[in-house]
Amino acid sequence: MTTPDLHLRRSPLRSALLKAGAKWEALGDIAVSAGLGNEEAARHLAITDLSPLPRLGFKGRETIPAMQKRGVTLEPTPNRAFRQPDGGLCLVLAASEVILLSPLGGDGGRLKELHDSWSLEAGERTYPLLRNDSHAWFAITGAKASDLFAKICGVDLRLSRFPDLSIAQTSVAKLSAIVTRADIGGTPAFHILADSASSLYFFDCLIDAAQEFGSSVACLDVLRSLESG
Amino acid sequence: MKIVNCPLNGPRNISEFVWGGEVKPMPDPAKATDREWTEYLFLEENLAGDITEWWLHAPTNYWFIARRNTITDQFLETMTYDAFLARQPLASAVIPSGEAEPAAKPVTGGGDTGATSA
Repeated sequence: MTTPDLHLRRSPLRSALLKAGAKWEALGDIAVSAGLGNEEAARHLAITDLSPLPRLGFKGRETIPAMQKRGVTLEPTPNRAFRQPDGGLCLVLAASEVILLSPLGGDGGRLKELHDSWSLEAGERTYPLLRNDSHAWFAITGAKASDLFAKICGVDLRLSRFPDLSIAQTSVAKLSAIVTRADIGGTPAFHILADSASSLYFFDCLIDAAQEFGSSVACLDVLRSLESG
Repeated sequence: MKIVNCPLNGPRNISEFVWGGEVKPMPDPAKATDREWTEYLFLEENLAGDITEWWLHAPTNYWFIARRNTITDQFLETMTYDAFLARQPLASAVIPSGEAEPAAKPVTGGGDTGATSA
């Protein structure tokens, strides 16, 4: 076991997760919360902090062909997510912007390679954006997830209207957010990327909105269990 | 809540949008007089009727064009900047000659939608 203070990077939610009773495991240079929630709760309604996991953005007019050239699975369809062979996700936000999310296993090797192999001198009209620093990453899982969103988001995110791999870039709890549905092992799952500096406020809003449905805070291990079935 | 149809993101609450001013040609900054530049930056026609404006979808930082009636405050239609340009008989009426991108606002993205996000 470890603590967030022993690592160079820390999740912006560490204080809230400590209060929730989190234990900690090392994941590269960061501590990730553990010992929270269980599979049954995650299938009902659970909120998980995925902020310690690697993520990377690219932006620029040639972003889509540049990603295709690098072997990223995607199509030029805005507001659509694409599952990668390693289990990660590629979010196509616009014709000129993508965000790549690492698999739940937390292996950031592929993203690091994409970042490190980019060079200004190549003259490609795409450039990397360090989304680890700008956006916190939450997962809302379970059958009641869309009921939670109905209280804090104006977009219709019911499972029948917002199918798997849809993206909505909208306002959630008055905060700009990227909401992506990417089910985990058959359990409805919504990934939210939102301003990391406001993440404690956002986490409070999610907890408050979810309370009436009987929610819980979960951890990465639980989502990994859902994924492996 | 008023609903605006964003060309990139679809129907959204008006609270997600920011008004960006009327669409108007940008004078050459190197040649414009102080008065011309001030008029361009700060003064609006304020027509009563149908006008063409810039609007921003804030969560995606996506600029687009809307036609709005200032008497009824109804959005008549919204479109990408590319679609707006395609309608203009003379593109130079909106952007200075030789400019590939709009002068008044940062062009958004590229490709089919001309879209970008924050």
